[in-house]
Amino acid sequence: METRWSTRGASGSSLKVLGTSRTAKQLQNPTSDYLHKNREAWEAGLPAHVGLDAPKDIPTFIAIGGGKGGVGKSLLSANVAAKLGQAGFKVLLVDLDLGSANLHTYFGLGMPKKSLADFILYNRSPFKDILLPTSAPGVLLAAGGKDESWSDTTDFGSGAFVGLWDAMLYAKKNFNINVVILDLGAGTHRHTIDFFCSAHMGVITVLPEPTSIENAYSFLKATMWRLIENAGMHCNSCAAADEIKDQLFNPQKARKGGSHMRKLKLLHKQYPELIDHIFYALKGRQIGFVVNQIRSQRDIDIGNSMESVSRNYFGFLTRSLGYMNYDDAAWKSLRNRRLLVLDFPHCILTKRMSEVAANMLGSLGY
Amino acid sequence: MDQQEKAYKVASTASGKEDSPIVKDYYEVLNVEKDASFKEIREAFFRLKNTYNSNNQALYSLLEEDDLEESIEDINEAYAILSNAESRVNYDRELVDAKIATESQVRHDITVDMPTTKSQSIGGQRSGGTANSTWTHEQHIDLGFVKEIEGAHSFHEEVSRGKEKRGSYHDVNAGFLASPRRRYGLGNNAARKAIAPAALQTDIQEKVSELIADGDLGDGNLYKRIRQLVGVSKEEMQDHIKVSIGYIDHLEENRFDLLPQPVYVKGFLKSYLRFLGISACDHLIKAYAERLNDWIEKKSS
Repeated sequence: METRWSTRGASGSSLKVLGTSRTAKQLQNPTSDYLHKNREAWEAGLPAHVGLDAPKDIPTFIAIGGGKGGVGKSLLSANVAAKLGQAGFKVLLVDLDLGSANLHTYFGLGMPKKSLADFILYNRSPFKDILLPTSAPGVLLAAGGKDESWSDTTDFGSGAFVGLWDAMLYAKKNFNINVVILDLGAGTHRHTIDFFCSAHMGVITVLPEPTSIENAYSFLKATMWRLIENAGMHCNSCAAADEIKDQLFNPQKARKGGSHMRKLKLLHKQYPELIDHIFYALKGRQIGFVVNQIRSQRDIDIGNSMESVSRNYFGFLTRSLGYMNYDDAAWKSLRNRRLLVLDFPHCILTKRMSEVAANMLGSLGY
Repeated sequence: MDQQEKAYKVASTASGKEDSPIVKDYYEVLNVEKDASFKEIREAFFRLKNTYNSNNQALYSLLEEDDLEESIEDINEAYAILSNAESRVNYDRELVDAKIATESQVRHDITVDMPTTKSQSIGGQRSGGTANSTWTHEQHIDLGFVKEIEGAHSFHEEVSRGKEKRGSYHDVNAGFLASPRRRYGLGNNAARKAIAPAALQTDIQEKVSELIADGDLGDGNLYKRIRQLVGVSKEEMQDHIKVSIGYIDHLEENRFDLLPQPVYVKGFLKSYLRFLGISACDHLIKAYAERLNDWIEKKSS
């Protein structure tokens, strides 16, 4: 497995890197034992509205977030999706930046006629109709929909997404989709964090700048907060979960100093069952880091540092997935209204996208 | 599957560690396996040193100054103890004891088999260590580990042959276990600067200076008499200056053939005399070293 996904020193096109060792049959139905084995741990951290009656065979969910805006979440989502599509996966790309959706623009598409808004808000299109074919082979896009239609219903509950989750969980069964990539919006809105918590792999995109790093950590803290709440709900002990959240996040009640991991371990005596459940839920999902706009080795190291620091601090299973060079190709392809990896298939940024895609697959056991 | 069953899948020993004998898991601090080689430990140390560095951008806003300092201290301490064969053996032994104590609890291994991927080692910063990441709060113990320790111990005894019994950690240090470094038999500078309490009394100081004025400065016997005058036993001396009883004996009995290189002997003698309250000791050391060098020259000719 190690050599199969080797991304270093590989010459030639990145498509080759991703695809060489697969047989046609494997490509049609790629499976991951890892995800299969960790299914229960993954379910242990899900919010109430996700996966109530999920089928056995579900696609892999990769959520791409990072707190701050403009750090390259959509760029990464679109291009990694295209790379996975090139490798033979059937990818569904969902634009969840509700209110300022623009993922379609990365593919050079105009505002689509049918979008998530029609499906979620107005209930007037079946899920099948909002899946748009894109210029990238193997990639379907569920566009976010007209911006103003979301502003109308700013404060709807998680219940609004039950239908979406249902449709996505059944996407493998119905549309043979292997990977669902969720492109999240900026900020730590409840829905955003819900999507992040519900993914098999959450990817944090950061720039090598203090503002972005700060937001990335607050994003992770919000994720932790939500996971504890979800665990409390699963264990039927919401009061205990509230107490744990207080101990971790409330500056008046929390112990001073020390990582979340240490505090959780200390609280284990008090709430053994719940804390065990939290650890179990943490184990069921991975957190990946991608550093965007790197200009030097020091910038690259930030990803590795964040990986080890947040593993120790939060107890997440973390992975540094790679990095993206600061490259003019990013804005050039946008202005050309073509997807980066298709517009500049040999540029350094395209190669980085393959590396990230390959590392994602490797981490998830494909 | 009901919740409780699920919960049991997770190692429940995480809490045990905070109980009775508090033994910090230095292997966990450095994020290495229990049987990691010295090279792995060193690499992990440098990697962490680079990470937990106040100049590191990646820590911004997550760690407070205090937390950072504490982490750095932990890392330094873990490395100091694990990088020294002797203190590592002592530490391992205690870790095993502590774990056996907490073993009574239900234990399940939950090694998370992260699928191995070619961890894209960017700029050679990372080793593959993270690829198979074991869940950090797990406590892992098996017989192989104990054997490993026995093996390491016999190796250590071979290495320190000639040092004679250095007093194992258990009987010597049983009383004071304040500093982990001292606890696992690793000297530190503070210990070297310690002075025996009796040496501060003026009447004893006078007697000591009399002895020095009359005595033969190159003779180890003089130092033995000073030590007895101050009322320090060989064992106490060993604990404080971190020189084994064997060497203290040889030094006091002028058994030059069993002493190490003169440069080490000078160091021993210096801390020995300091502990006895003799800070202006250069001429004493010089006299003893001359005697030692004479003996070496005579032997080689």
